[in-house]
Amino acid sequence: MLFKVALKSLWNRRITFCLTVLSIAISIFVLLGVEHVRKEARESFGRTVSGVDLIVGARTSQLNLLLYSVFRIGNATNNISWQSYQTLSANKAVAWSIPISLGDSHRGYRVMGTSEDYFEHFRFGPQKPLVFSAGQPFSEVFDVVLGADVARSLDYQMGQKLVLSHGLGKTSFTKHDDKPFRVVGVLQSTGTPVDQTLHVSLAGIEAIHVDWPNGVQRPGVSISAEQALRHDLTPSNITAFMLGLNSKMATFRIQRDINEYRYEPLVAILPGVALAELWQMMSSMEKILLLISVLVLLASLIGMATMLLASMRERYREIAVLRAVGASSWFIFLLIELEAMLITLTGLSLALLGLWSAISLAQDYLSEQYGLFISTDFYSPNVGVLLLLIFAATFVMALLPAVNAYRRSVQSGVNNS
Amino acid sequence: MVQSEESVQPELVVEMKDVHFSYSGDKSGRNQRAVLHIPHWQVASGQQVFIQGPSGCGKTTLLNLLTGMLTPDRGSICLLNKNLVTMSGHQRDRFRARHIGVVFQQFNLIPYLSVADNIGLATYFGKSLAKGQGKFADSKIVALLEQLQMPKALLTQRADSLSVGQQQRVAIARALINDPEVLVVDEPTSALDCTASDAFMKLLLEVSRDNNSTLLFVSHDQRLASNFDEIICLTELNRVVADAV
Repeated sequence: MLFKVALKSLWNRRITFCLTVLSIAISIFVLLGVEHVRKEARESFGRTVSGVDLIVGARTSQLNLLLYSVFRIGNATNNISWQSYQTLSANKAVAWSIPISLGDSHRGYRVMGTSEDYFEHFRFGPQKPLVFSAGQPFSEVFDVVLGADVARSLDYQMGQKLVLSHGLGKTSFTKHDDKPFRVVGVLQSTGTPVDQTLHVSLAGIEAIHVDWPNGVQRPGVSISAEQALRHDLTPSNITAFMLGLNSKMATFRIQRDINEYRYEPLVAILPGVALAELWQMMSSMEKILLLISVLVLLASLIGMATMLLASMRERYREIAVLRAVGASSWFIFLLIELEAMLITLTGLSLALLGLWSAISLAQDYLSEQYGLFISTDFYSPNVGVLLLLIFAATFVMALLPAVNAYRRSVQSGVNNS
Repeated sequence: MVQSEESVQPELVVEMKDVHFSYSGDKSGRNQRAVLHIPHWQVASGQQVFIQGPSGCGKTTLLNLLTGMLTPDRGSICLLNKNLVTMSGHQRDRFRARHIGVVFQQFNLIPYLSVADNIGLATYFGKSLAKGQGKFADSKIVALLEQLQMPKALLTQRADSLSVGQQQRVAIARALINDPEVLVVDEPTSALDCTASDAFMKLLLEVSRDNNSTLLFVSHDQRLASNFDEIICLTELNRVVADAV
């Protein structure tokens, strides 16, 4: 009966009820949205690479190197010579190495030149290897292996031919259309930037740039794919490389050796340390966002308490009637609290629905543009705690009108009209 | 002035002894306003009592004390041989729900609830029916409405869509649904015209008699007094007013 009275009472004031619910829904949407995106971004970044001991690139900040080499965000400041790569990867402490060559794209998706070792040694999430949903690694110069999202969004099939573009723009006017690549493999979805990447061999990258000295196509010169194959396709430089070491104990020694490498200014970073630095930088921003969201929620809850309090004047008769038929003062108190809880619960449901819809719609955009893979699974211990806090705050905020109603019901009698 | 038409009184339903009540002023106790002092008053079972008095003489306060919504500063108020003063608030609420039916001047119903829900509230608080007896409750509500000459179709209508007269009848149905021993009615005809008022009075007296309820009826309209077994003038019963006068 309490529930029924509370529901019908709220519905009786449906305009103010709907506006209050809307304001609470928006504030919970913001609060949970910030928390969910924060958590998902961390998880998304954290699962992108695992098992890589060092990432090496031209001297730059460790964050920049991490972002462009792993997350395909930003650009390298310089390249590394192939000679340096060979020298450093030949170190006895190095178990395996994965060269990375970036700079080209296909319809907005980045192209990564690498070796077959990439498919063998690269790990993501909890040490999960890359798995092919179709085909195999590239073996020919003009073979390409697609990430799952690329294949799905562009609807590419095995054996289909595609053309790479020079540079990273989504719309490019400089295409390597005289040297098309053939799809020989499609990777299974990883929930990492790998899904958004086209993988080709280093020789393939070299081949399409045979007639592009210094990054610009030589005017009036065109070298066909067949002619390019006759050139020496050993790369002269790469963008970065990943190293797996035989022993973790050697990590800091190798890092120091690379940082002090005398023939070229290089930097070696530990992915985990770079990520920690990223989170440290982000944490103050996260805290500010969280604080703003909490304040917005608080404002909405105060609005709800005001709405309930304002409605009390017209409800004194109702309270008198309830008391006359035997309702205790606690029933009156609980009625107001329950109404507040129902407002918050409705707002929360709307917020979750809105958040789910927004993330579903933005999922592809976020993964394509920022390499962020945000799931629609909201639940986490933090979200659980936030929900509890929201309901606790609702209870506290509703105390004012509830206590007002309680006191009124204790002090007054039948003639409250 | 106390006019009793019966010389032999059966079992007592109401007995008030040395009841003092005042509305509190500020926290220090200043501005405390004494409203009622009733040395002794009793009502026998089945009586239909008319309590009259001018505005401000404490009629509504008396009803609030009798229903346990207010507690006196001192004295005892026994209803059905139970002292309301020594009960806890919860016990008083439960007692009121089970044994007392209340009808106000107006605004008797929760406007946004249906007629059935308004009456159902009384069965809920009175717990007069065990769980699973919903159908029995519904049929009892229908029977009561029929007794009050109201169509069954009104059951699902919102209370605020009814006329004032219909609302008062629903209020009677709600007051009677738990078969209360005491029916407390506070100026129920004040919002009705003469014809509606007479019809209402006839109906109220009839149903309270049929239900064997003791009726305590408060009004300043002396025209209605002739319908009752006993007439109490509160200005004579209440020592505060008498002293002031």
